[in-house]
Amino acid sequence: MAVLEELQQAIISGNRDKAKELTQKALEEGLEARKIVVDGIAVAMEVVGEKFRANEFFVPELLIAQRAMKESLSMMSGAPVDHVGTVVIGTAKGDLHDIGKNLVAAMLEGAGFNVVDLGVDVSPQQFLKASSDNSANIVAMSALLTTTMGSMRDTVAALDEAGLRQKVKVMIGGAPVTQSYADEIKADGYAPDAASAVEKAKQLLPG
Amino acid sequence: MAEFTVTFLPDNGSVTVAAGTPLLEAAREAGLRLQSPCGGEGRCGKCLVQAQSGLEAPTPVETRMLSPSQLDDGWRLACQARLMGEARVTVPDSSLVVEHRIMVEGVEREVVVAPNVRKLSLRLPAPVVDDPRADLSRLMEALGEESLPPARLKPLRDLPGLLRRSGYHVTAVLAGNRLAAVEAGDTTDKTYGLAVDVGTTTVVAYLCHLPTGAAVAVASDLNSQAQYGDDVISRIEAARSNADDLSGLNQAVVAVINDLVARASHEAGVSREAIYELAVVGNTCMSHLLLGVSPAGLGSVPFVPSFRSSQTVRASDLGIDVNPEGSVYVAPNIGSFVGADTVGVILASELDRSDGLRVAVDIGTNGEIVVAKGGELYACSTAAGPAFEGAKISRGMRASAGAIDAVRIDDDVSCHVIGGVRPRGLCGSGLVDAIAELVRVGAVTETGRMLGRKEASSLPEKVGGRLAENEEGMEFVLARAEEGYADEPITLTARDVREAQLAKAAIYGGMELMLQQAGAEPGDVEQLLLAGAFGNYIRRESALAIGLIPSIPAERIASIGNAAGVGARLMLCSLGERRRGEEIARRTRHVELSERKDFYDRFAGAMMLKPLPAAG
Repeated sequence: MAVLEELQQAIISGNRDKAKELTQKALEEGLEARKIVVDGIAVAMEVVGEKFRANEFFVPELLIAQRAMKESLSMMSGAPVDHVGTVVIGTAKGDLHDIGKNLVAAMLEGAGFNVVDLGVDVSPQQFLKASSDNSANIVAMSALLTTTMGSMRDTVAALDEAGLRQKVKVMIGGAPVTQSYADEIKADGYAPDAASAVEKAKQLLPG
Repeated sequence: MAEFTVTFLPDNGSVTVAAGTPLLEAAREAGLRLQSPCGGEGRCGKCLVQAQSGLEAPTPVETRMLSPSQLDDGWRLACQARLMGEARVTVPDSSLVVEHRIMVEGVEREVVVAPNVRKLSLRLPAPVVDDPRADLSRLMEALGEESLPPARLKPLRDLPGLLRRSGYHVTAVLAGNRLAAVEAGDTTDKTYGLAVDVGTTTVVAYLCHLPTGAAVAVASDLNSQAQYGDDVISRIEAARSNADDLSGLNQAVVAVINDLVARASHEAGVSREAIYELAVVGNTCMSHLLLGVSPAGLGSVPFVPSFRSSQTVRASDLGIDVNPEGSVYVAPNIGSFVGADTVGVILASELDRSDGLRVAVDIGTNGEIVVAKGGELYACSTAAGPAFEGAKISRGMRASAGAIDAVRIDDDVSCHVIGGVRPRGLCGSGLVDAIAELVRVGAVTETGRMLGRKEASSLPEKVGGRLAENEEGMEFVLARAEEGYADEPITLTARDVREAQLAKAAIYGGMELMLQQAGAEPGDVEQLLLAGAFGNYIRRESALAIGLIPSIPAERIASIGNAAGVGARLMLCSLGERRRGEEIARRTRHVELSERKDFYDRFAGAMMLKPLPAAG
């Protein structure tokens, strides 16, 4: 579909206005929101992730692609879309940094996930509640300050105590976070950047 | 009552006064300010003048204070000598109160020098049966009522021996109004202070001659605290998690300062003992670490410092190697992440006295922005990262000899190197120029991607030929191996462009938010001042071209160099400026960007390497 290919290019090159225009055009041509997301947006974000891993694209390209993607998604809000899974995401308690977390949220959205973004300074209890309220498959946590990493451990414990640990996978990230810390707190996954986070999230889905 | 004319030489000012008028008063009327720290009581000997006639005979006080040969030559004390006829009086410079003014680089500021540390050379009358005053009283009375006796033992212990060895000709060292030290003879000229800007990445020290305010030497170095992390957050984390690290961080910065003290004093031929005071500016975290105070509260919400006000401590308590009686004035901070260095910038640029809309940006690791609007002051920190100070850039370096500080591309690349030597690296201003030029010719896209060789076929041959591939990706050769120092090429990598892009997006995003906060558009800004690390004079055209700053008419933008350092010098050399700095710290409102939900969106939009805000 020409319009979807053009939409992919608009998102990959971060052209917000074109993305909006082409999404509008696609909807006018009678394409379903579902199709636009899967064959337009998700494909574009996949390409963006690949270029990132190849060191061609970097944070700026991810950010502008994500903005274009959001523009496109906003034109279809309310329309039924099949999500591949639900992720509850937030920055750990005591921490206000959110740029990395926002990037991951955007990439996950682009890949077809239903993303519930709790924002910053999120307590274990808040993660717990959002997780059960939204029947989340994954709880994703980010931290930039080493002291707030402890709160990630607390969230895993809270999920355990509430008997939800089996139903929900936990993945973590952030500058000071490492795979070994993820192992230590018995998280299910760790990713060093937004593109790998999408891969990891897909791996953690059931089935 | 008879009146006579007194003519003062060498200025030839003259005045007619009644017979019996003390010369000191006549001088005042003629517009001459003679020194009289003892209040005109004939106790300090500073108001020496020379006259052959027209004055009443020397008083007993004068006979005691002055030697027979001095009296023979016509030397008199102006506070004691009274007029009795026409007189011509010669006033030596040493008897005048001189106000020194310093011109501050790049900022067009003239400031009257009035440092905290002053020295007064005194010839005290020796004790005699009629004047058996204690040594300390003799000295303190010569200094006048406002002076306070020494707070520490050393000056007191030095006093008896010094007075007698020097024939009662000593120099009193005053810190504020307190006697800090006593030295033999006249050492008034040997009074120095050090103004220090402790940056997260770079530390700069200016050795200043305190009586005149002149900077006699400058030395800078990288802040070795970097081993604990490039940025303030990492250092706060290290300090809070480990007492040894807090101590290590403190020792690292003290070591850097001591090294700068050694280098600057060596360069100026000044002894370290002659350095009596330090005035230090730095961001809030730096202030804490210098004093060895834990910055732990700054590590998480709600971000609370241990202190915000200025602190004055003994140099010896910090292990700083200057005069043992020396003190360190650590200037006050504005908020948790906007510190004394920003107070320095405001002081240097006089943003505190603006009526209209003026903005200052410090293009350094923390990217502080100050907006002055209608007398109100707002400041924020954008945590830009050290790219513009030369760190995190593969061939980045500070702005010193060997740094490429300007780049032009036409059919080939030409670089200007500081000192005219072979280039060793790239400093902040060179980085901004290089990126602006590369984007302009199309070797780097507006999104920050460096083109591959094949994609760049439309570029002039010599320019396109400089694009090369290494293991990590693309790079651009600014100076070829045969042109570079030690036959090493100077390259700008694709990754370097990304680092600079992130840094500039933080600064631009912060500026946009601050202007919005002030209810203003870029076009409303009357003046934008670019401050930065020592030696960095970022070209405004390049800054505009890559969207580092909003599109404000170029003539309203000026580069003011190391304004924080200038502020430290002002606070060192003038108590008036120091008080003004305290007021600025109190008044300026700290804006916490991370609490603003819209910062992320602005940051994302600010990534583009083109003039911003984007048209349409």
